[in-house]
Amino acid sequence: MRGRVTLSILATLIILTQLTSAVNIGVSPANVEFKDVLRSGYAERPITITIDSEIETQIEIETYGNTSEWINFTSETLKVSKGKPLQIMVSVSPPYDVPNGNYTGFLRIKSSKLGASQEGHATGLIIPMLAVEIKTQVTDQEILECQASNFKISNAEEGDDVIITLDIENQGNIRISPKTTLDIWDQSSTTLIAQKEFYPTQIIPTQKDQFVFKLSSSDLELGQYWVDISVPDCYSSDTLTFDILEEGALYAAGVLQKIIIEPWSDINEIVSIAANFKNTGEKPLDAKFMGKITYQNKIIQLIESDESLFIPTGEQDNFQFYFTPQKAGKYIISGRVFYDNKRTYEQSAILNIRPGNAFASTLKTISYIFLIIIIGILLYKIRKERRSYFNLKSRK
Amino acid sequence: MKTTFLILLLATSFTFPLASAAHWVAGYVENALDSTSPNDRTVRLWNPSNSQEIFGTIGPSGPSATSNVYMIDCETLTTPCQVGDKLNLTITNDASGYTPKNIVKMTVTGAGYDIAPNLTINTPPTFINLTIEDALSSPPNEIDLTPAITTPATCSGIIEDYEGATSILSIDARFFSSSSSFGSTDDNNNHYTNSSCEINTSYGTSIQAAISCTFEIEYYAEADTWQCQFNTTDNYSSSTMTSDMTSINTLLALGADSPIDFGTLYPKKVSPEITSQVTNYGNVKINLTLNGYGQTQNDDTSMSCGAKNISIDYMKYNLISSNSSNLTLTQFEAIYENLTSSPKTTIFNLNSRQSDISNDATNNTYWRVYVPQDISSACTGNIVFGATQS
Repeated sequence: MRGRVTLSILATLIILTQLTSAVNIGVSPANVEFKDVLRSGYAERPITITIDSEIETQIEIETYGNTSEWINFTSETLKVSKGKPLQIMVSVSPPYDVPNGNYTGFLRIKSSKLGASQEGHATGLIIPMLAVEIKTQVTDQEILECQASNFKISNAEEGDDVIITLDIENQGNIRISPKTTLDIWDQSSTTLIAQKEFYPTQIIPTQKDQFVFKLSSSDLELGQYWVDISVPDCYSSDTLTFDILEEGALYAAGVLQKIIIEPWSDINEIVSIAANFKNTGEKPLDAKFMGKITYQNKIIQLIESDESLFIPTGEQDNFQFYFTPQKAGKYIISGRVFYDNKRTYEQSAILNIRPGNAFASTLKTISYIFLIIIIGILLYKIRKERRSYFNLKSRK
Repeated sequence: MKTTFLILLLATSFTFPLASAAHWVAGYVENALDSTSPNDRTVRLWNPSNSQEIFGTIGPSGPSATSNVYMIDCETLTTPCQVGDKLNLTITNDASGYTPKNIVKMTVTGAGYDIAPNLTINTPPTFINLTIEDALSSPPNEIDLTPAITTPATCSGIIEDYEGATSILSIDARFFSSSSSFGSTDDNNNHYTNSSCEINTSYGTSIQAAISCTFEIEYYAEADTWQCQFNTTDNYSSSTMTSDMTSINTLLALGADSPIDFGTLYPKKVSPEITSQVTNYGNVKINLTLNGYGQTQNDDTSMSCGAKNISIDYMKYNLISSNSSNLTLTQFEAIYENLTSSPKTTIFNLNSRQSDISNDATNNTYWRVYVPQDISSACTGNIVFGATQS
């Protein structure tokens, strides 16, 4: 009897558990705000829909509220499950005749009905829904603002194109196609070899795209080149280097990572300077460091490694130098590493020399002289004593 | 350099004994592997037999007046050193991270001075790259949480140690919001710790290692700017702190038990009150938006019962208090609010979970339905439980 009761309770619990469903959906962020959107303009932002259930659940999306006709999203019906978050792009496009101001609409995200109706009962099935508030500020002021980043350039074998990539993000509210300029310099960065201009396809507001430009290498000889790449409208620029390689050649590359120096020292104190170089290419390198020390905009010393350092692939090493500053003030140590007919980007470091204490310095010099005199006297006395000792001995 | 130092030391040893009873212990301290000089650091000399100690400065600002060299007069120990005493020397720790690599031992001799073996300093590990991301790398520097469960967020980066990648002993990683700090205790709302990060020493060169620390972030973690901070220690006890910032986005999420089962209904009767618990499974305060329909949206019904329907006005809720006693239709209409066909937002102010121990982000809603005279068979309706950020 007791067993039958236990079994009945267990069965009831199982049925209740099955009937009481609890799949939880979430959306992140909980609200979206678009600022400074032009009439007939555009702005977008991704939102992420997540769920805690392993079971693939159907999601329905609809717009609601005053601005529901302006709000767009990438898909109406989607499926989401645990560990597979869904990212959809939400965008707004205010109509051409809407006045300036702040507007609010909602994006309603609904999951499918939870649970099932029970035979003979009145059952209310719950449909979880999330209402993401979409605030839009409409303006008539055009804003041109962008950011170019992640500039990259590839090496190319003779005859192949050099590939340049960069990311441009439109942070304003008008479509842009910002001019991208390339100044190509020789290995010593002294002779301008060529100038090129590229225009990317139009980027709509709030979007970020990657652009790829091809530069023909037919006019370029084998060797290393430097490129000043600039996107003036975005106030972004960078300096890159690339190689035109022989077909099948192993690529030589290295990075002067940093010039290591203690930032503060004293007059006449020997200062250690280390230039850390890393071989990032495909073959071992013989590398030399060449640099200079400047003081008050004048070169006061050239620094150059006597012998090349052998640096295997993937390894790094230090070029070691010493310098004795004679005057107080700021010194700039700069230089490049030369390897395989190539050169690295220039690196620099600052050395500050404290003003010396004149009295202490004089006292130090006097002490040295005094000590040397004492040593001289002692040596003279020892020699004299020895001589008289040997004279005495020879007389005996 | 060394010659000057030796002349100086000889001169000092020859002359000073005439005027004082100094016994100099001198030694050389090598630069760290990244070329950092030990000048101005302090050397500790101690006699292990009586624990007495004295200190000296390395480099030009010390008695040696020479880079990388220190001189300490062991006669200035409380119990002056004597011939045959065994003394220890090391470099004291400071905040730079360049810790001592060794302790050297020497014996006091009858000579005017003694040269101790070389001391060395350790180069602390350095990070060359650190990022924190969840499974979605776009948009960058944003973490989106998952309702009711945890979301993994991984801090990863490359570390370099001149002493060799294998000398990296441990990495203590913390992930915390701007309302917390590195040293705070763990709290799922704002502070997480991971002391068992992966260190992959086979990555890159012999001095590089790839590190990866994953944090399981609870759904109710604060929407805020967060910092992932690493404290790396190598086998010479050098530690380096580095960090990267990200932000955790707001999460709007709602859980509600389904279905609401009113049981068997009788015509011209108000059903018993049924409780449906609502849970905030996000990290922002929420309000409720409710509406309902029988078969299709905006059909002005709350339930479909075969060929008949129950009007939307007869399905009612109370979001504040329970009234479990039997009610007449008039009482029912006075105490409960109408469910509507179009969504209606009600102030609910259900806060996100604050306690790590129990879920305090729940609230009850109370439901009843009135059955008109001509309804007899089983009924099914749909209630849309919506959440909006309050």
